[in-house]
Amino acid sequence: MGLGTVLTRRAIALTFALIVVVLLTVLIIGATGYDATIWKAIINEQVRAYQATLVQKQATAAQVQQLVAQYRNKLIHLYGLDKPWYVRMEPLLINTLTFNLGLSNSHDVADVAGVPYPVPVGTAIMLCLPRTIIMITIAQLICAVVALYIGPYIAYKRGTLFDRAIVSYAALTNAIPVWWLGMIFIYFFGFIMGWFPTDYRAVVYYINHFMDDPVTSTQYILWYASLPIITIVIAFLGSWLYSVRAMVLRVVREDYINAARAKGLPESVVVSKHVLRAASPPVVTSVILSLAGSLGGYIITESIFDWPGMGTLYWVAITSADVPTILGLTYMFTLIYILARFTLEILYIYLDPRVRYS
Amino acid sequence: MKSMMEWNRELMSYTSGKVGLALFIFFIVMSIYALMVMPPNYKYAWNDPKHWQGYPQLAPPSWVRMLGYQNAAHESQTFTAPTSVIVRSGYKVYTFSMLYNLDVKDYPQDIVVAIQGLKVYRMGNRTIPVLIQVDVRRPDGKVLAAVKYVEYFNNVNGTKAYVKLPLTRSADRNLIIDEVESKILNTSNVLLKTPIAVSYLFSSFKILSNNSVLFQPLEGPYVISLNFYYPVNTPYVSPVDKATLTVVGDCYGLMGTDNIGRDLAQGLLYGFPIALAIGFGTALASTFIGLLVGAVSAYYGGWVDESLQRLVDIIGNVPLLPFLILLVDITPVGERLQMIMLVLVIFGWGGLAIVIRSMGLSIKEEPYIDAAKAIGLSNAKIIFKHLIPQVMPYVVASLVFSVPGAILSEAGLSVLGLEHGWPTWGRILADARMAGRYDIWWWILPPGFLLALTSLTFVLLGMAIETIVEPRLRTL
Amino acid sequence: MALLEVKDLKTYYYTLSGIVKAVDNVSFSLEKGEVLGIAGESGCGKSTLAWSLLKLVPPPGRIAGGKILVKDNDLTKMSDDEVRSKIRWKTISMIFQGAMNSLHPMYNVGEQLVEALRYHSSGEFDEEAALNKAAELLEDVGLSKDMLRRYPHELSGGQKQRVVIAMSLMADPEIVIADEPTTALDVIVQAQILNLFKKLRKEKDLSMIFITHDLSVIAEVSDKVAIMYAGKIVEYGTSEQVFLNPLHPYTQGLLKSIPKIRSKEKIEWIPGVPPGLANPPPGCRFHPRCPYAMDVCRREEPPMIEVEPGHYVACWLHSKR
Repeated sequence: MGLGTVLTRRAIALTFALIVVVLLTVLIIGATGYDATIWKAIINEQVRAYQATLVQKQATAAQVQQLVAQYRNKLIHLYGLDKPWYVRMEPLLINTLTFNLGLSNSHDVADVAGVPYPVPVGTAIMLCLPRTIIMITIAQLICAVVALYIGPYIAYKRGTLFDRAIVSYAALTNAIPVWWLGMIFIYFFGFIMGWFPTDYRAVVYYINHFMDDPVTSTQYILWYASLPIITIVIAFLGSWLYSVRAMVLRVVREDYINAARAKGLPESVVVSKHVLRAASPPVVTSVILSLAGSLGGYIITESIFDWPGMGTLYWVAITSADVPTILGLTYMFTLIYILARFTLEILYIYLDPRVRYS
Repeated sequence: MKSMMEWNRELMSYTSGKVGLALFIFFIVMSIYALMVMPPNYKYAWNDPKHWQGYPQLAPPSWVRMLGYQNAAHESQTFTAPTSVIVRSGYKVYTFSMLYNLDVKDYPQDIVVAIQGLKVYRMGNRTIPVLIQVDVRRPDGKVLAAVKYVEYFNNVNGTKAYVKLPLTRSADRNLIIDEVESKILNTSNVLLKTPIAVSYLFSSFKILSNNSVLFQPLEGPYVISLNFYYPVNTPYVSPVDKATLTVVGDCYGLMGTDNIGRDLAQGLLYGFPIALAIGFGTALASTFIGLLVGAVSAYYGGWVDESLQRLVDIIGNVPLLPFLILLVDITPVGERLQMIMLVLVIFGWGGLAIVIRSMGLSIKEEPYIDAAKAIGLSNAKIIFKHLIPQVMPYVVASLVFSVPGAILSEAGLSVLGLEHGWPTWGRILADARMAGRYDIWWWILPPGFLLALTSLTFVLLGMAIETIVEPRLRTL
Repeated sequence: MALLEVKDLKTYYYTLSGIVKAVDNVSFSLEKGEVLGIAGESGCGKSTLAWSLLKLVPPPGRIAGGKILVKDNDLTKMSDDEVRSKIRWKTISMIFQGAMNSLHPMYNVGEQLVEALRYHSSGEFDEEAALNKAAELLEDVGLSKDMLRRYPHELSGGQKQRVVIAMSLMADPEIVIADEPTTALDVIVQAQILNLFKKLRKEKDLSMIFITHDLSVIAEVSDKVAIMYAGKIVEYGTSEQVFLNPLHPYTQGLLKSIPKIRSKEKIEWIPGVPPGLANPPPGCRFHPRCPYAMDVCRREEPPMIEVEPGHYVACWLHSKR
C-alpha cells in the first residue's frame, strides 16, 4: 500500500469521525427536545412582548387573543416547531459542517466575546481563540519546552535524589486538580498578597482594543495572563516531565543506544542524535495533541479565572442554551483535534522510516 | 500468572506501592465506616437548611482554639429528664440547665433549643398552653431571657406534640435587646446596632457620651436554662421526651461548618463512599468494555476489527468534556451523577481497547493459540482462557489509573455549577465557590486535598503496578 | 607485550538485593592477530566481560578491580573521555549480541557507518571519504553499496549482521569483540558469517575475541579458548589443548553435549543449572553439578594452575594439595 493511499484512507476515516461527532451533537440537541424547549421559551417571550404592544394599542380582548394566537402560530412555523425534530436538525447539521455557524441567540455569549449583541458565532470564536492561546496554549508550550529540555536529563539521572524529587512532584501535581490550584492561587496571590488581579474578565478590553495602544495592552495582557499561566505550568509541568522521562527511559536501554556509546560517541551526541531521535514519535505526539487540546480551552479552569476564552464561551453557551454556539464550538473542538491527528500522520512519515516504507 | 501473594509482595517492594496501598486501605476503611454511620436520608438532610439550625455558620474547626484562636466554644447538651422541678408563682417549672464557660474574647453565634415530644396537659377537653423560656445567668449575676415562647396545642389529640420533628427555636433578637435595655443598661435611649443580638447576652457594656454603646465579651461561667411553665398539678416527671440545649459557638467539630451551618466533617466523610463508587463504577465498566472490544477486535480481525476500529476512532475524536457538560446539562438534576458515569464509560474505553488490540494481535500469533484452535476450543473460550489472562496485568494497571478520572470529572462539573444533588467533595467546593468564600480555608482546602489524595493514591498504586508489569521502567 | 592483557578483572553489579559478581578474577591475554574464544552457558558473565573491555558496564555495574592493559595502558585508570576517544571503536570495537537491535531504526545504514568514523578521525575523512570507506567495507562483508541508503527494517537478519560487522571495522580497530555474533541467525547464514570472519581476520590481520555459548563456533575460528563458568575462567589454553584434552569436568561436559554427526556416542548434558551470581556456592562454583565433586571442592576455591605449557585449569582434580 502506497503512502498516498494510507494518508488518503486516514483522511477519509478522520473526516468520517468529524461528521459523526457533529451528527452526535445535533442528535443530542434535537432528539432530547433540548432545542424545542429553548425555542418555546423564546416564542413565549416574543409573544408576551407582542401582547404588551397590542394592549398598549388598546385592542379588544378578543382581538388580542386572536392576534396573539396567529402570531404564535407564525413563530412556531418560523422556528420549525411544527415539524419533527430531525427535519429541524437537517439544515443545522449542513450549515455547521459548511462553517455557516449562524448568529448567537445569547446576550451572555456576546458579553464573553466583548462585543454588542447579537454576535455571529464565528466572530465569537475568533475573538475567544486568541485569549485561550494567550493563557492555555502558551502555558502548555512553556511546559513542553521545559520538559523536552530537562526530561532526558532526568531520565539519565534515574534513581538519584533529583529524579525522585521530580517523580514525586509529578505524582503530586498530577493529583491536584488544576482548577482547585487556581482557586487557591487566586485567593492567596490575588486577594491576600495582591500580586495578581482577582478579576480577569477585564482582559477583554485590552485584547479587543490591542491596536489602540499595543505597548500598554501587552503589559496589561501579561499582567492578567501571568497567574493563570503560572497555575497551569505548575499543575502540568510534572506530568510533562514524567512522560518525557518515561519515553526516554523506554529508549535508553535499547541495544542501539549502547551500540552508539560503544562507537565512542560523546554522551551529548548519544542523547541528542540517538535517544531523542528514537523517542521523537511519542514525544511529538504528546506535544501536538496537548497543544491542539489546549486550543479548545480548559472549561473549568477558565471558568475559575473567569477568563473569557473558548472554555468560558462554551460554558456560557450551555448555561444560556445557545444552540448555534454549542454546535459551532463542538465542531471547532473536533476539527482542531482531527487536524492535529492528521498532522501527526504526516509528521510520522518524516520521523519514522518504518512508517515511510511500509 | 502470578499469584495474589506474589503480586502483593512485589507491590510492597516499591515505596510508591507501599504508600499507595496504605492510602487505598485508608480510603476503603473510611468508606465502610461512612456507610455504616450514614443516615439513610442523608442526601436530603444535607440539602435541607433546617437540618443544620443548631450548627454555627462558617465556623472553623474546634481545634483552632488549641492554636490560640479566640473562637467561642460550641456546646450542646441533651436531656431526657429535668435538672430541677419547682413550683413558683402558681406554675410548676421544669428546668433543664447547662453550664457554659466563655473563655475567649469572642461571642457564641446563637442559643438554640430543640424539643422533641413536648407533653400536652389537658383540663377537661381544653389543652393548656405551655410557656417555654430560655434564661441566661451571666457571670455578673444578671439573668436575661433569650427565648420566650408560648406553645398553644391546637388540634392535638394525643398527649405529645412534635414527636417526629423537633421544635427548634433560636435566640430572639427583639427580646434580647429589650432585656439588655431594661435589666443591664436601665435605659432604652441608646443605640444597639449589632444584628447578631446574641452577642449582647455575653457582653459587658459601657455607654458612651453620644448614646452609643461599647460592648465586649464578658468572660466567665454562664448558666443556660430551659424552663417549661405548666400548671401546678401537672403529673409529668419530664415535660419532654428529649430536649437539646445548644450554645452555638464560633467553631465546630473536626472540620468546621459552611455558610448554612453544615458540618463539613460529615460532608467530607460521606464523600468517601460516593467518590469511590463513582470512580470504581466508571473505571470498572469502561475497562471491561475496553478489554472486551480490544480482545474481540484482535482475535476476530476482518470486518469485526474494522468496524470496531472505526468506532474507537469516533469516540476518540469526541471532545469529551464539552460533550459531558452538554449531556449532563440536559439531564434532570436527580439523574446527573448517573449521567456523568454513563458518559465517561461510553467515551472512556477507546484508549484501552487500542492497547489491548495491539497486545492481542501479537498474542494471537503464539503457537498455543493455534494449538487451542486445533483441539477445538471455542472462540469465546480461547479469548477468555488464553488471550485475556495474558493482558490482565496491564488491564489492572490501566483500571487503577482510571479510577480518579470520574471522581475529578464529577468534582469539576460541580465546581463549574452543574448541580447533581449529592453531597460530594466537588459539591462542597462548588458551594464555597458559589458563596464566593475562597477565604474560608476549612471549606476550600480539605475537599480539594481529599480529591488530590484520591488521585495520588491511585497514581502511586498504578505506578507500582506498571513497574511490575513493564520491567523496563524498573530502577535496578 | 601482549596487545590486550586482562589481569584479575572484577566487574560487579551493586543491586538492592546484593552484589552480583558477574566477572570475578578473570585473566587472559590476546596477541596481535590472535583469536580468543570465550565460551560458557548464558548468564555466566560473558557479555559483562565484553562490556568491561569497553568500560561500558551498564549501571549499577562497575569494574571493581583488576587491570585491562591495552598496549600497556591501563583502561581502568583512564578517564572516561580518554577511553571514549582513544579506545572505543578505534582500538577495540564490538559486534553486539542481537544485531537485530543494535542498529538505530531511524537512521539509514550509511549514516550509521559514517557516524562511527566521525568522532574518531581527526579530519582525514570528510563525509564523502567516509561514505566511500563505508561502501568499501560493505563490499568486504559481501553487501552491495546500495545498502548505504537502506534502513534497518528493510534488511534481513543476515544482512543486518553483515552491516554490524562492517560497522565494527569502520575505525580500523585492532581488536574486534564479537558477542554471540551468530546466535540469532539460521544455520546457513551462520556458516556464511563464520567464513566471513575467517576471511576478514586473514585480510586485516585482526585480533578477535569471540564470545559464544556454542563451542562448535569457537572450534571453527579460535586459536585460544577460555571456558567461563559463573563469572570465572575455569579452563584456558590453545584450541587444540582444550578441545583434545579437556581437563575441567565442566569443559568435558560442554564438549560431550555437542552433537557429532558420525559418532555413535550419545549426547550428554550437564545436569542442573548455573548458580545465581549474587550468591554463588562456596568453594568451587561448579561442585553442585560436578560428577567428581570432593570434600575440598565444597570448602575451597581451586587455584588456577598450569598443567602443560599455556594450558591452565582451575580444578582440585588437577592440583596437588
